[in-house]
Amino acid sequence: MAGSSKEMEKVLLRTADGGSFVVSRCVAAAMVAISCEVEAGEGEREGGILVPNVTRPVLAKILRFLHIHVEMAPSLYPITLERFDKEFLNVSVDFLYHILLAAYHLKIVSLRDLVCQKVADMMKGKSIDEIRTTFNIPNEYTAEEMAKITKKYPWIFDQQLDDEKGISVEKDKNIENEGTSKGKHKRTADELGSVEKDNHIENKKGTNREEEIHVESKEGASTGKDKQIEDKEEREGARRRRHSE
Amino acid sequence: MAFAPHHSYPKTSSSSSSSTSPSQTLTLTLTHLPDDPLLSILRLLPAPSLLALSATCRRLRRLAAADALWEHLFRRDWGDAAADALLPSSSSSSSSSSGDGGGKRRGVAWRRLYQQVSQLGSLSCRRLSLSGGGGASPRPRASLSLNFVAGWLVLFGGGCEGGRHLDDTWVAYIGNGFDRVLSWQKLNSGIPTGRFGHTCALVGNCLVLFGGINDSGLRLNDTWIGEIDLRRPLEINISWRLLDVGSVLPPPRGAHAACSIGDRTMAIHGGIALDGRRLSDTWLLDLSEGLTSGNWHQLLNPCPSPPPRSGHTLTSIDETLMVLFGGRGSGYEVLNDLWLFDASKGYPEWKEIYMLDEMPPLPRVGHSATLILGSKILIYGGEDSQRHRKDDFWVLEAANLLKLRPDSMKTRKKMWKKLSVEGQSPNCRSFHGACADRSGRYVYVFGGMVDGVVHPAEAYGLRFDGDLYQVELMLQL
Repeated sequence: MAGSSKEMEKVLLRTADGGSFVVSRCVAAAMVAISCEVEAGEGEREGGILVPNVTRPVLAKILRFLHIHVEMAPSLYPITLERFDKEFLNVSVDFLYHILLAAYHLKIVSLRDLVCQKVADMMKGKSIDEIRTTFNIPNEYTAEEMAKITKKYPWIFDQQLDDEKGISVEKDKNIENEGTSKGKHKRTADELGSVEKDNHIENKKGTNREEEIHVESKEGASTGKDKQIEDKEEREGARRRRHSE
Repeated sequence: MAFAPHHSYPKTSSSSSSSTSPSQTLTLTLTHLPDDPLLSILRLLPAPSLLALSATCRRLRRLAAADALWEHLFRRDWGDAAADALLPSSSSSSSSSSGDGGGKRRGVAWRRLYQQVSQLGSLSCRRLSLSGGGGASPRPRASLSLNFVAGWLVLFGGGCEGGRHLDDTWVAYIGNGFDRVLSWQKLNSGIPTGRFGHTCALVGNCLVLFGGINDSGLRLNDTWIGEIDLRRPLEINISWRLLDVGSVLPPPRGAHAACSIGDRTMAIHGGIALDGRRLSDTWLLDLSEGLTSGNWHQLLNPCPSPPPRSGHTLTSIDETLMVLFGGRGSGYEVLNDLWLFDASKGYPEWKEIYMLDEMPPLPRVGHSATLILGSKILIYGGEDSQRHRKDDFWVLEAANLLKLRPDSMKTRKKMWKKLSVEGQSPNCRSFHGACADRSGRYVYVFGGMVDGVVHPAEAYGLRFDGDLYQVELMLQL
């Protein structure tokens, strides 16, 4: 645990381009790729540990991350860590790649996952061209090839890619939709009349239940006259009469 | 100690966007990353972004075509139950297969499966025949409850001719090994007491039944727990008991809507009250540990909530989200508005969803809304304001609702799609029961009011249906 004397012993880390850092043992051991050397005490020797595949500025950045997450984390609120992570990754795309590669080679899983998620978030909602621009991917396809590709996957281009982008409010359209969806089936005057009648009588007798369930069942079973009964009002009336028998 | 890099840094480095010493920091692009970290990134992307990315260069196209990647996306987006249901029953466990071998063995690549589920456009329907053993089957009815529990269909109550209520519980096995020959068993009757227009939802491992109307016209507000006993193989037992909920409970009602939220909570909305009024209240029931008691509380929230209605549907799409659609309002008008109930924050609230670019399906009441494969809700049947029964099938893309930003209620995303029916469509019906099985690919429909058959002795208009239909979502496997 951070805080025990062995953990807090200092080790020396060097990079191939002349960088040299003195950090706590627990921070160094968090880089799984060199944890064996750290455990073996190499970090206390004259030359320290040569950390492979990483340059000085990138290692500096990574050690800052590990200092916070390994040494300071027990005394920090989760929200503080979140804020740190967000600010920490607020760098150029190019530098992000360097951090990702280093985290990958040095086997720092938490940092690797964090950067992967950040890069993925930067990709969401972008078109093909936008992705190429943001991530410096040269276009190696001809126009014909691109046409073929987009034809092959039409279904993605149907779906909106602007999930994360703002949606502008179009007030007029909105109101129009509201009106149409609710008012689409306005009742005729006849129905209105019958509805008012229904409500009045149903409130008295509490026979309203049947509307939703199987109002027609009773008339369906009894009279052949029902064939001609189109008008709802008559149907309701017929039902009520039978119910009171 | 030497450590051989997995790749070589590019030789050219004319400019660097980093603020540190330029000669030591090379400009990298996405394509310089080795496969492993790239795949880690790809696995986090939504499908449309993954496809856009795959169209940018050849290397990404190759990487993004990996079958294992698409199987991961399928399971991530549609769930393991749906994924496992699409593997042939004789194949080895999917978790051990990786790479292209798994896809080829089954014959259809996961990427193609993902596309098909995403673009579901048609279904087929068949009436299930009863086994010849001569066993009884539930009498035709409407306004029943139909649930899927661990491979079994559970049916309770409903109303039949003469406005009579029913009080019987029936089960039928439709799990693994079901060969489409149906065999109903009557479990018991009398408990719960007879009713129709009630709701029954699977909450965690038990059924919760609430409310309804009996044939004296009395609206009910008792809450029942149906405990499921599956200890004996190929057998199911359900013991119903009244739930102790204390003195605070929703007013009695029928033709309301209900669904489960998470493992321990059930929500109800609206319905027709004792005096015939349509309600617009929302109540939540929390079940205690061990299901010994429950606690109802009303949602008292100044935010707008769905206007009063009955015969509408509530469908849960997530642990914390449910969708309300349609029904008949207090002015007797039939509705087609869409509401989302969001319980993910500290205080749950309703939001009406406005579609800026499309029209919803025509208004309906007495339809069914079932969560199916691919985070979609299947809307079927119901009746319109002229009491004409419908037989159309629509899907609502619930996945798009999940993606709505918290404060936005207006969307340009395409929410609705009408499905085409291959072969014969089932009759027009309303107030039927419907539920999906574990795979989400099959929906079972029972009962409801259907148009009368052409028969001299029968009156025109109405008939209660008593057949079980299996609706299958079409995928080319």
